[in-house]
Amino acid sequence: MKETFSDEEILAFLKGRGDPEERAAFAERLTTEPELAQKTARLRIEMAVSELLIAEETRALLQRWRAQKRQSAFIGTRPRLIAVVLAGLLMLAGALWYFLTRPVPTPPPAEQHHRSTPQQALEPESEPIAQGPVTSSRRAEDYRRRASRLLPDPPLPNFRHALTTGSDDPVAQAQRAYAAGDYTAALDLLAQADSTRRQTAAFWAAHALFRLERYDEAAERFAALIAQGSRQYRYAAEWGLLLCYYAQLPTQAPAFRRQLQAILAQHNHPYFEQAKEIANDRQ
Amino acid sequence: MTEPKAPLTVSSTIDCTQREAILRAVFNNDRLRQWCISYVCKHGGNRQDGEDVFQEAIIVLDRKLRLGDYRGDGNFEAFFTGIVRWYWFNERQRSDRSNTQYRDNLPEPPPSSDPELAFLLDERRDYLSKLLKQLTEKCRNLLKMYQLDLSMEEIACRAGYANGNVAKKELAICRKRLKVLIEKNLKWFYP
Repeated sequence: MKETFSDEEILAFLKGRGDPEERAAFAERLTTEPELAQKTARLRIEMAVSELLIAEETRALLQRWRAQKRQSAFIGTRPRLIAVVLAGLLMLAGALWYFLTRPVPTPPPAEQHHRSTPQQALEPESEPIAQGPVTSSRRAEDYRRRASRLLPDPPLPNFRHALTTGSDDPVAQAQRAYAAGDYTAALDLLAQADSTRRQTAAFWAAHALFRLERYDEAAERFAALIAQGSRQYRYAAEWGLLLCYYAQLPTQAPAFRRQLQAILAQHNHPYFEQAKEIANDRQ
Repeated sequence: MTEPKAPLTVSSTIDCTQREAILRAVFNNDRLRQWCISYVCKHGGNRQDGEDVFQEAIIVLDRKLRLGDYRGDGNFEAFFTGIVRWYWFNERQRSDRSNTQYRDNLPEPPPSSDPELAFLLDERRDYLSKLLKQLTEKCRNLLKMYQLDLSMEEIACRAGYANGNVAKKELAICRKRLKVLIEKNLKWFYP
């Protein structure tokens, strides 16, 4: 029979892991070994604290989904129908214009087919084939959309009811506003943060600016966090900065390449693999 | 009242990647939502109560799925509606509202592999919150990610640490701090 259980083993039992025989044996030992029972009780409290945190994060996530649902439902019936019809007509007009005016396509330059490494993808690209504005604006939108998908939201803190958390804290209020999708309000609140939470406020502000597609301002905030050597936010800020440039491709191509190179030069960077994927996509 | 049928399948084990997908599937299931609102309205609540209960039941469901209380061997919708029933029943007990609507059909508590954990979360929530307030934001994030069974590398990535070893050390510091707080205030939980 096992003499002692580590914290991890006890937590695994508390989380419902282990086969039924092991669990039954463990439960039996709890009734006969007071020390094990006490250790388990303390770890259970630790687990309960963590579960409370998870519950608050999930609550905020559900509230954000609720806000998104309301927003999409607001595009109601008749206005939605009109918007759909108009969009369809515009697309038809755009397609007709494109097919009637497009130049004869020429084969792409040979070197673009042979890039096989992320480093090669960083080399200056040759001029793209002349394309109509519909395609390039669609590409820009694709970059924005992809950048938005790739940027994770900052981890949400405990949003327990006002009775038990500092609801007056502007950063906490800003985080709630962010979770509800009100990025403008979040920015206003973050501007009121005191100096002890400057980096946290800057990090959240950068994300809020990103979501509002104010990429230059978001890039400034991310760059400032990197320059300050923020231990907590440095890697996430480097990734955020890259995505700010990515969202503004092709206009910010040089800055994007520099930042991508900076991340790819650090093999231990938490976002190294994702940066490599972006580089491969760009080939 | 008939149980709503929802096209949900949940296996006996879930990981983090499935977790959000399941929560979203339940959240977007309008038939489950409407059933929940109707149930709450029929048992002394209003529409807003029903929306709140639906949300809280999803949170309880999430915990039960992660802690193995649902083994994939029963009807998932029945499991969820059981959570709704029990949650609303307890809410009414807590707020001293009359529970005469239940008469002889009192809801049963949903399956729980650790009733003591449920007790702590239901009855000692205020004390748990007091402990939380004494932890830094960094520690709260680390503890949450640890409880979600994220790997140390994943924790490092999300928290902005250089690698998993650094994350492990930081987590150990936070867990030690929490242990000290628990030891100091053990009487809150076990008088």
